[in-house]
Parts: sequence; structure tokens; C-alpha cells
Amino acid sequence: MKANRPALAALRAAVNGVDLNRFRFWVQLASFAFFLYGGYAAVNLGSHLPLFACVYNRVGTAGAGAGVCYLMPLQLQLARPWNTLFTGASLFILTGLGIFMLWFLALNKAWCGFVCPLGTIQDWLTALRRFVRIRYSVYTQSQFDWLKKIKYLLLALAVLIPLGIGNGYITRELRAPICQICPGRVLLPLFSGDYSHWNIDFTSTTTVVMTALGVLITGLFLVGAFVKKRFYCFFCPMSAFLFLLSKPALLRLKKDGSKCTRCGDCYRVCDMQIKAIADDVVTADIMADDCTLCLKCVAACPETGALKVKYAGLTIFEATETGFIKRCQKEHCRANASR
Amino acid sequence: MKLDLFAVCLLAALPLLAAAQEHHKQPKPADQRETTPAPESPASAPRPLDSAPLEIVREKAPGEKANFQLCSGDEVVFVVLRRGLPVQNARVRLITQQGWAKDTLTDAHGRARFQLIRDYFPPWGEFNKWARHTFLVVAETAAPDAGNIQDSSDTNGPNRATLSDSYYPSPKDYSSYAWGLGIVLLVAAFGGTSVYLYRRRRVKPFKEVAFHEGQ
Repeated sequence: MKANRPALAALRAAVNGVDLNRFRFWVQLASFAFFLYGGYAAVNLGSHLPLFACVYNRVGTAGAGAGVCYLMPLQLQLARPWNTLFTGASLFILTGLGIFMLWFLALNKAWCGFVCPLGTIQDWLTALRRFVRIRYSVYTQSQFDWLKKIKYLLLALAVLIPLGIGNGYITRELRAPICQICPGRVLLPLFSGDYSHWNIDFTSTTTVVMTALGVLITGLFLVGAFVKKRFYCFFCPMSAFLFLLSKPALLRLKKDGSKCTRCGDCYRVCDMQIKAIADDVVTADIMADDCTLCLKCVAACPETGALKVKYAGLTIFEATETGFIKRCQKEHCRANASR
Repeated sequence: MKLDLFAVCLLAALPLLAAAQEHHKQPKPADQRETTPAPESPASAPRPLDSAPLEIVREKAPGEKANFQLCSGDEVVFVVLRRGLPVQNARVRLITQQGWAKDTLTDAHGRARFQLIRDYFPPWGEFNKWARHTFLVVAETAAPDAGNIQDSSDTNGPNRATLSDSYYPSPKDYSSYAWGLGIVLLVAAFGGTSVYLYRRRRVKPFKEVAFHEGQ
């Protein structure tokens, strides 16, 4: 047992000194390829996943990549008459939510930071911006506070519009409204050669408005994600949904305020501009609603033990001084090599 | 860094490859069409089938997947088989719900090709993209052997087989790719220009501030 301790300490040191950005890049790339092309290998993880792997990306035997975002089934399932909504006939909605929860509990919002294909596309656009040496944009605090509410509004619409459809108050052409305006519907099928979702559908006023909104938001997504890191994640209803359910998740981001010097490094690297990560030295459970659990803050923290990532109570990655220095040296070498 | 770039470029090239593959699957124009079919697997190759004196089978469209829908404008191919083997020069007629009809003869591989015409012209306000229209295909060949009609033998009449199917309005009738692309480009151009102008407006000209501590 004693012989194992140095090995364990070495493993911890190796993990804490990992080049997180490089690790995340490869995980994102592998996830992107898996969820978009996994269908070709007959992989099907179902339609209750907490990420934007789009049902419109019709690939392989499953007809929709290796798995599908839960928002589409949720919206379709909720389009039922109210009198059947709270009966046994609607038990499948709870079953679907349960499966979604199981997927979600495993990774918490790291689904957003490491796996979501739409998030990965945004990170690639950010890398492109950095490559052409254009500086990024930031929101002012008041803009930030105002914009972060939009995702909750979209989530409410994702629930209320299907309920209205189920009771005949709203036209069925508005079914799955969030999917109709989601840039994932337009962009992700492109990767399997399907350009059909760039169309404007002229059959009715509703379809014209919704398809036009879909491509308009895609245009905003492309420009926005180029100049602002993780632009769309501020408005993502899935992000809001995940945060509301995040209490029992196994993966947690913890902060020890007594070790924090409020140097602000974590805030500066945060793609989502979450100020509380630097300012709040009281809350231990530091994950905010906009957080994507990309863990850049932990990697950028120079104070040993100030920020930690825990999985089911076990620390799997934490900020250390040596890890911080190691990453700085690698970053410095990389910057020199690219000159 | 080079490996990262290579991986992203490879993944970015995949849509182009996939698009090229999709393009390859599109039916070719009539003048470029191959007359000899691709080699068939043993499972799908024509084989004698005594229980089917005459039958019509619709050939799968290139790239056809589950939930496939025929649309107006699509080319549809039927194979006429007698006892499981293709029949040459069988007369095949396609009749739409509105009564439009077209005749053709099967080729050496028993294939008859039709282009489904647009047969649905409602006022635009009543246009329904889910309007389902049926058609009937009738194949007719000279009878090679005697048959039975109403319990009496018949040696003169032709053999006929029928097949019905349905199709929907083509998405090209009610949707526009150009408009979609136009909106994206407009938003991207407008958004990009706005960000550029906003940033330029906020750039303050350099001003040197001099302190003269002695004064």
C-alpha cells in the first residue's frame, strides 16, 4: 500500500500539470467526430443527450449521428393535451427526463465545455480569430447581466409553446420551436454534406418566419462566435436547463476562498466572463449558470488548492503552483515556436 | 500545433467529401445515364420466382434511407419481372391522381423510367407541402402462357400488373436555398461591419501626457 503512495502522488502531479487546453482540444475533436459520424459505425446513444448533437444530422443506421439532443424529444413530448399530461399516458415524458438526467449527472456541464459539437465549433472560430490576430470582444457587466436571462426565456418558450400546441392554442407548424431556430440545425448537417437546412420555407407565414429566424441566428452565431468567445452559450436553453438540474451532478467545481488571492487569472481566461469565479471567496460550489465546466479557470489558477474539480467527492484535478508554472512554460514555448 | 491544425483541416474537409459523395449519388441527366446496371449482389439479382407471373418493383433511389418520400420532379425507376426475371419491351404506363399518363417500354434489364410531374397547383394560400398524391403504374406484356379469368381459361389477353405509390410536392416548389444563404451572408456582413465600426469608434487617438514636476 505504501509503495503505491509515491505512484499516486506522481499521478496526481501529472494530472495537475496537464496541458489542459491541449487535452480539451483533443477531447472536443474526438467527441465532435464521434457524435457527428458515429452513426456510420452504427453507434446510437439515443435521443436524450444533454448536448447539441442534432437530429437533423442524418447519418448512418440510426439516421441521426451517434446520439441526439434531448430538447427535440422534450418539445415533441410536451405537445400533448393538458388533461393527459399528468396521467399514466404521459409517463414516457418522465422516463425520457430520467434518462437525460442519468447522462447529465455523469458529466454535469462538462457536456458543454468538452463534448457539445456546437460549443466545439465556437472554440474553432475563436482559434481562427486568434490565428488572424483579431482581438476578442467582451460584454460590459450590465450587458452580461441582461443577456444571461435570454436563455431562461428560451427554455420557458421550449416548454410553453409545445404545451400551447398540445391544446390547440398554437399552430403545429411551431412544433419544436427551439430546434427550428437553433444554429445546430443549420450547421451540423453541413458536416455530412446536407445543405438543405439553409432553405427558407415559403409554405406559410409561420414557416417563413421560423426558417428565416433559423438562418438569421446562424449568421449571428458565425459572426458572434468569431468575435466573442462562446457567444451562443449565453443564450443556450440547454445550458439553462442543465444548470437548473445540476445540484446532484457528480462532477463539481469547488473553490476554497481562504486560498484565493483574487488575482483574477481565472476571470481573465473564462470564456463566459463569469466574474464570481474571481470575486466570490465565500461560496464553495462555485459553478455559475453560464459556466461550461471547461476547467480553464482551474488550469490558470496559481494558488495550490484554491480551485478543485471533484468527481463524486474525489478530487480529480486541482490548481497547483507547479502545474501553473508548467503550463506557463509550455504556453511560452508554443508562442515562441509560432513566431 | 501543426497536428492540431491538421486534425481540424481534416475534419473541415469532411463536409466537402460528404457533399461530393451526395452529389455523386444524384441521378444523372438522361443523356449521361448508364445503360448497363451496376453489378448486383447475389441476394438482389433476378432469380426465377414461379409464384409471381408478372410484378412491378420500384427501384430504390440513389441514397434512399428510411422515411424516404418521393417528390414531384424525382425520377422513379420500375423493374418489370416475369417469374422473377426482367422483361424487355413490356409496356409500362404511369397514371397520376389528376389523370396525367405516360407510356414507355422497359429496357433490356426490365427497367422503365419516369419523371414524376408536378400535379398540384392550388392557390398559394392553400398550398400544403404534406399533400400526398397517388399514382398508378400498369405493366402489360403479351401472355406467354394461359391464364384464368372467372374460372375459364384465357390464352389471348395480355398479362397486367399494377402498383400504386404516392409522392409529395418537391421542396423546390416552396423553399429557397438562395434566400437562406442570402440572409446568412447579409447578417454576417452587417454584423461584421457593425463590430468593426463599433471598435473603430472606440479607438482613442494617442495623446502624450507630459508631467513637469518642477512647475
